[in-house]
Amino acid sequence: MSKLFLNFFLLAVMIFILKGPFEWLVLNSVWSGSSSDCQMHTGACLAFVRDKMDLILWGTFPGDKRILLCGYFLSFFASLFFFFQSRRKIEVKFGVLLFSFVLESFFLWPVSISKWNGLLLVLYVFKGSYLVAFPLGLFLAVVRRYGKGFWRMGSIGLIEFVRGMPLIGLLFMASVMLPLFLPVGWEIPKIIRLFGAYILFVSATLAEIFRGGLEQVGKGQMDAANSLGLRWPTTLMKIILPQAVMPMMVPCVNVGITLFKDTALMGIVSMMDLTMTSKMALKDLDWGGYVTESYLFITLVYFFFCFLLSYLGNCLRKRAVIH
Amino acid sequence: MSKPIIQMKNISKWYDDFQVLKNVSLDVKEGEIVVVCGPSGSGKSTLIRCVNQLEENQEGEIFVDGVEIARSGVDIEKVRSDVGMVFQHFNLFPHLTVLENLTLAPITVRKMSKEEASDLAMSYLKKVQMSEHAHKHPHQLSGGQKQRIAIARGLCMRPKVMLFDEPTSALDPEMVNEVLDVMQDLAKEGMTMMVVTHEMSFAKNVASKVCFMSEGELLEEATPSDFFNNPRHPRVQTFLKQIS
Repeated sequence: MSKLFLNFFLLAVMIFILKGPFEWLVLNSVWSGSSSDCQMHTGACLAFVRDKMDLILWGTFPGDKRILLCGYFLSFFASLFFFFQSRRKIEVKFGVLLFSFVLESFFLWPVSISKWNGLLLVLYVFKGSYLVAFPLGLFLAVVRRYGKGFWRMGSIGLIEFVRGMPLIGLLFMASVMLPLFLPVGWEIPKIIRLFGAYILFVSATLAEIFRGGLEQVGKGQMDAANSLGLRWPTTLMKIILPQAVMPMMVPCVNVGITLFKDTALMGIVSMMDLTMTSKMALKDLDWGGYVTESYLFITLVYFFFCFLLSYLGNCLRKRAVIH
Repeated sequence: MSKPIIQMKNISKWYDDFQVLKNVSLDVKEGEIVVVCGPSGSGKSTLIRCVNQLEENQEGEIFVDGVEIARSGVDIEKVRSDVGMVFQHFNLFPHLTVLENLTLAPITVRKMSKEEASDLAMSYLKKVQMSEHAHKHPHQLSGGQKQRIAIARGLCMRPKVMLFDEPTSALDPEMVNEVLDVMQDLAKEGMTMMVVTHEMSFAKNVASKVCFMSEGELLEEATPSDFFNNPRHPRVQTFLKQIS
């Protein structure tokens, strides 16, 4: 009896909470028309999102070159699904991912890099920095675990320094401070500097995950490899890394998801990511500020990609189990 | 007089202040089966691990087939590839199939072709009666099967000597014999072996020499019949009384 009462009570609470958003988003919303149509209703102005969707997603990417985006996304999704679904060796899968990234860069080459805005910038920075950070993180972890002297200290120093800094600090250093320290006449494009910041941050995070994986590999494995006369590079590549990396793939995907969301920080150092392009759209005086609607839209975009990554990561987990 | 494959001269080793090996000297000649026994913590495992330098000895000299191995400048991987080793916990590579476990070293160290290495591996799998398990992963096998695979893996390198570090200690009792049988067959074929074990039946029936270690010292070195019937050292006498 009390359970029934509780259920009704919770239902009432839910209706009370969700009634407003439901009316706003569904009952009173405007799906098409102009600004004046929206002003006549109290609900969400989804006509604004429809009108500005192109601008929010692609920013100033020239309209007549949109066909290049088809090639980009084809390569992006194909390589992503191949990486997570294929049963080939990880080296092969990684090679394909790297190749697809180069291919995508070539697709986009005809358009000036400053016009790669919105979702394109987010995806490009995400994929590029993760691709470099993954092997770099693995290298740092191996040096930290097995290296000696200068190498080991260097790796520990780098990892701990970067881990001790917030990502936003690194981004500011890359965008504002670094140019001040460069010799006169030197100039590194901003996007490259930001890539550097993301790569450093993610590789330090991944390095600590890989370290956990390396510590899991029993000492007996090393004994066995040594007793067979395997040399160090073979032992590392054939015995240790396969056992250390595969169980760590799920946390690595988590870092990828975090990185994807952290690309939003680029807006703060005035790169045209999704948040900035939506701000651009909001400046249109014909429409007035439909802030909630535009943020809701980019929330959905982020959710789509993060959910996709986490779904694919789960598929990977089911196969990554090593006994 | 056959030539010695392993010669250890005055080996001493310390972990910090604790001396695990005290001036141990021991020879293993070609075709000999030397069994090392003694209570836990007596340094038997450390001694056998010094032979292929999985542990470094601080004092003394070790010769493997005439080469002094602890010297700097010695290609230790080359020496190790001629010395097979079987561990208490098998140490198979869990991410590789049985066949890949066996062929990895022949392919990468001996530079054999894949086919050649597979043929060799299959012949040794047959010898340890594991042919039908070639494409399984180690986790699908029982302890005794794993240990037989580990022995086959060592044999694939065609070693000059095989080292066994308590090969049956981690096994369920009913699996001990299948491993001992394989070792006995190997001994009959003339393989030179150094075996650390608690299996006194193996020492009695197969060994050409039995050594007893206690607290880092080699106390007794005798033929099996002398060792079991007239042990000289009082420590050995109490040991034999305790296990009988």
